[in-house]
Amino acid sequence: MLRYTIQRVIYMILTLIVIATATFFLMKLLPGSPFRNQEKLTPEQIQMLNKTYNLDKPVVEQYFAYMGKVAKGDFGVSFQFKNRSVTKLISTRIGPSAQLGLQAIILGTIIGITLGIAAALRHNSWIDYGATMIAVAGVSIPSFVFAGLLQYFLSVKWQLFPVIATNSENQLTFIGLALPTIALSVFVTSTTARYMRTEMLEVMGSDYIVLAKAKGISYFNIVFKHGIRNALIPVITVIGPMAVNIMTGSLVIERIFGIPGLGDQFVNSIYTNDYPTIMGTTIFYSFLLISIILIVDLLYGVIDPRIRVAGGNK
Amino acid sequence: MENRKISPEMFRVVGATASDAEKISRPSLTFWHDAWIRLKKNKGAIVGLIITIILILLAIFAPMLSPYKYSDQDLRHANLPPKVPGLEKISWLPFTGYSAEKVDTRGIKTPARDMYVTENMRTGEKTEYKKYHYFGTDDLGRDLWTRVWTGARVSLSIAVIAAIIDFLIGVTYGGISGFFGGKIDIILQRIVEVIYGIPYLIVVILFRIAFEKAGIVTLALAMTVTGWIGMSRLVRGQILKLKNQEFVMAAQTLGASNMSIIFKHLIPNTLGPIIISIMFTIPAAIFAEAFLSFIGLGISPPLASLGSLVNDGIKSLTFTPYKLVFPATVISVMILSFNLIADGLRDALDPKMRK
Amino acid sequence: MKTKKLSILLVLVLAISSILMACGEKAEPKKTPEKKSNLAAKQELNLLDSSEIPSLDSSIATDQVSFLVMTNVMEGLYRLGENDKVMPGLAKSEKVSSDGKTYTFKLRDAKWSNGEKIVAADFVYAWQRAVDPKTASEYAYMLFPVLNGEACSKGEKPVTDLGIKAVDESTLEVKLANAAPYFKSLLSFPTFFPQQQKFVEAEADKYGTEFDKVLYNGPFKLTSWEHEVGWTYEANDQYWDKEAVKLTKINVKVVKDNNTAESLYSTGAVDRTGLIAEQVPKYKDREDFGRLKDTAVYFLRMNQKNPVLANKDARKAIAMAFDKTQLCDVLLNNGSLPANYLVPSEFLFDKNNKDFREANGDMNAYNVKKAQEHWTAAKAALGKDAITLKLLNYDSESAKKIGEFLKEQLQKNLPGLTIEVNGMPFAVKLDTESKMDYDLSYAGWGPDYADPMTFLDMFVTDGGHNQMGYSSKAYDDIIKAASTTLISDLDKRWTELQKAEKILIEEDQAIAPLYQRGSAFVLNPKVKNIFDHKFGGDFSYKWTYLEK
Repeated sequence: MLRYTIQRVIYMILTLIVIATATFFLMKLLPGSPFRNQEKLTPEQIQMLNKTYNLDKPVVEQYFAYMGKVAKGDFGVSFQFKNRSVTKLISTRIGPSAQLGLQAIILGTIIGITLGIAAALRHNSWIDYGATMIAVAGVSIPSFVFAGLLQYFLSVKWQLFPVIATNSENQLTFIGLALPTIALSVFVTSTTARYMRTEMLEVMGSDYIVLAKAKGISYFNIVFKHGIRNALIPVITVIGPMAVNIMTGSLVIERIFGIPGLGDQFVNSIYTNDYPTIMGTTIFYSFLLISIILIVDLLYGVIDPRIRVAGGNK
Repeated sequence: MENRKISPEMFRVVGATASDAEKISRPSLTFWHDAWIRLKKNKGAIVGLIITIILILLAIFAPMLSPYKYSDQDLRHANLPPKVPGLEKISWLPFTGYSAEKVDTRGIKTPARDMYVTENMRTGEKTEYKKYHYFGTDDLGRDLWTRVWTGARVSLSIAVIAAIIDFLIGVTYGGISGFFGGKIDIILQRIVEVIYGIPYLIVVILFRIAFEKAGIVTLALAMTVTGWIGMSRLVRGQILKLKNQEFVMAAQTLGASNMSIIFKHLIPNTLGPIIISIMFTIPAAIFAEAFLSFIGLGISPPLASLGSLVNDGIKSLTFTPYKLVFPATVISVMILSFNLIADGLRDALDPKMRK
Repeated sequence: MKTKKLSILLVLVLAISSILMACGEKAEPKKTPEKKSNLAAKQELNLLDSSEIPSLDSSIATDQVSFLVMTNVMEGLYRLGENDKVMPGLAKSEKVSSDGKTYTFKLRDAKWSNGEKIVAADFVYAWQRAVDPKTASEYAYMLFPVLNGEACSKGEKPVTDLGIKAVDESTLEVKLANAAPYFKSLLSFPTFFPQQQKFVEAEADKYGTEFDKVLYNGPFKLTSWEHEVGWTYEANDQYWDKEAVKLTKINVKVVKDNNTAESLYSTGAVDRTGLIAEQVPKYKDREDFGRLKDTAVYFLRMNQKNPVLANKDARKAIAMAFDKTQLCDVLLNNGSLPANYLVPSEFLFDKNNKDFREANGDMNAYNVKKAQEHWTAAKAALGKDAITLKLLNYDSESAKKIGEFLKEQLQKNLPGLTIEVNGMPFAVKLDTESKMDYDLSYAGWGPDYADPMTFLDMFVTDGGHNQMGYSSKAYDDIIKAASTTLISDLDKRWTELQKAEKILIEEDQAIAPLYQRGSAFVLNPKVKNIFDHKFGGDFSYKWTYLEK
């Protein structure tokens, strides 16, 4: 297991390098320059600025210069936000995104898994129909409509919640994050509930559960020790990457509730050709994602002993 | 109890011969036929199916039969509320062509008025606009009924094309990766990680620049750039779980080829999650297109998608709610019915549920 | 109607008189008790902005948010007041040499927020820093009117050769390359603000990145700056004219979503917000609704590399074939004006206070019949019946709507014409434009200084912003003369520049003007005297106050 893990970590670093390389060259294919005032600059002036920032060098040379700096832990300085290092930009903005994302994931999976299990154990009863309806309704409304309606009715019309997530001291508040958390968790709830229900139904109908029942193992033990444990595997595959997506920012929810998160910054950096920020965010995002995939794969082995992951010892 | 003797005379042959033992007494059912029978019993799925068919028919025929084209502008009649012949007389329905009565923060009432009648400020002369717009008009004076159904057509096309591509690539890729394992799995999974790690938006923007116009196919392709990965990971996970099970070993022992094991034995056994995943791909693709609309990379105007219409509508939620309500309802009902069908199909297709 | 005008006049007179009073050398103690009692007890303003402040370094900042903040927390030789009137800033007096090329400024006794005196050397340092190629300022070109400005920015001359000199601690001498009648209006622009060398060099890379990593010398200073969330202004007690400042605090929140901004306004959490076209109908009859006329003018570039657009009749046909009034009144709905010109209205006035616009009026306005005549002539000359043109567009929501509108109008009114609209992200669109890889392009231009040249010098042959292959000898001659021979005769320069605009639009139809931008907003009626500006920062809060 340890050898396998080390092997995977090495792969992970290689993968990161490949992603960074691919992104770098793709990004350089985007036309335009990173200068905010480019509409007013003459081509000659743009050329001079490019020279100052070494953007006039061949792309390959720029690439090696950049990767050399990254190897030393220097992710460069943003174009859009003058003189601010990319590392600092990301670190100040990941906090709110992660807090919101984590809350939504926790809320969503707890409700989702509970609904899924309840629906499966009471198959074709009103609990099943109710849980399914909640799950289906949750994925049927586009998130920006749902968030917009929540905000309009609960904050503007009935004034139960603040309109935006930060208070007058510009700090995120728990009550302010309530609506965005709900809005974001709906999708998580629905997805988890549906996967959980499907898997649970399948597992509960399988032969080993029948055998367990025949052996007289208590219902509680069957459901928790055998049923849920096996049903969780595909659910984890789905939750892992979803968690990264949600924690690194849901642009829509962040914009609507005025949360200073990473999603918005990333989109902006692409729109403004802010090369160091695009690269920094990509590397950070990929790192998170690949780590999660690795953890999910390792968890496979823990949750389901039947799986001998490829490369593991038999 | 009376003791009775059993003698051979008490029995007679009713006609069965040795060959009859091989006969199948009930009509033979294929896998799909059987699934259909069970699907028919599922009320939710049938409702979903009927609604989907109605939506598809409307998406095909409503724009054709409408007197307006989706791109016809008439700025003199912009922002008109819905008006439907027959229903226009029923004052509590929102199809009267009247604006809503409003009370502003200072308590001043703006009474409802017929928006289809314009009054000349100078002469006081009233002119009535005689046409009907079932869903009202947008800010360029385009008929929203036509645009909503055109948008439904566009959204459905994008989603279905994306789902098919996702399915084909994802199942093949995930199946091969999961079944063979070892080096092949490692290489394939590293490729997946790289594709997954490259920022989607950069790819989409490059797509947009390369194709210049964002049409249905361009957007469907943009959705699938990373869309198939979820499917492949799901299939791989399932195959990993199944491939060490006895029936696979049995098939291997009987000399089945690897491909036939993957596609005949393993994939059918993972159909439940795959179908659910496809049914998630369709709404996800519709929503992804809406997200691209939200950040300005959606379908090229004047064509509309449900997502772009909803996005336009939400901006004037409080003033012209009909611009949001109709496309949002259509998009939600569409996705709801896809999900109901998905549930029904799951129950119907699961081989373990066959009795 | 009449009474309304009168009341506006009255407000204006009051406002101006209050400014005049506030700007006296030594502000006298206020002796208007009833006016004072009119002030609300809590002079605190709540505002929104759509983005984080990218930088508070006046040499390298490039965007509207930074300029807005800097205009209120810093000050140059002058500042803009109501209706962009040039108001006193750090300059106490000025002297211009007879050839118009040398300006001598006497600085007033003013302090930085750290209590140190603002000296002439602070200006010298800031200006030299802005043109230094190492600083890579995107606004270095603002200093090109100053002697050697362009050469210094290219690194051809050392920055010490820039035409600015500290004669003594409170005397500043500026030499210009050519006489520029608009030079004074430039000096309120942030690139011309002073910087204290000692402080800037001590903070180095961190300068302007946090609220305590910058020195203030304006009516306000920042007391908190939570990145991406918001910032707080408080009145600056070191400001030389602090008696004029009535607000004690301004809270600004970053909100990017238009609906959220409107919600915050309607729940009373903020005092002002801009409105998008979709929100205007809801507010337009209310007393808190207002419209601002901007000076940015939008137009279609017509690329003459395309043989169709090289034809003058075709260009005229296109320019006259769409209804600008409908575009402004129905679609934009925010106070934008139909434009049949390039130099905006209500922006530049001659010495008799006559608008630059009056001479030329509307040129080649919307006229379908004429457009079709030109179109028939063009098609005959080109020998083509079906023509397809690509319209390069931004990808913002409003730009998309405008693109759709133009496509529909042009196709309807000019038979045989097909328009393909192609929306692209901002940076990509500009790049495509500079490579001249387009037929028609929806573009805009805002002024950098108060002179017609800020618009007109764009279209000289092979000019950096021409980007459409337009060339006219007559036009080039006037533009060249305007910054050389005509400087001595400003009246003639004025009429010549009007002539140039006429050549550009009425005769050659190099561009097809669309509209002069406006913007709609809602403002808490208790808030008075937020002055808007046509260049530099968008608003000044120095004179703003809340009524009871």
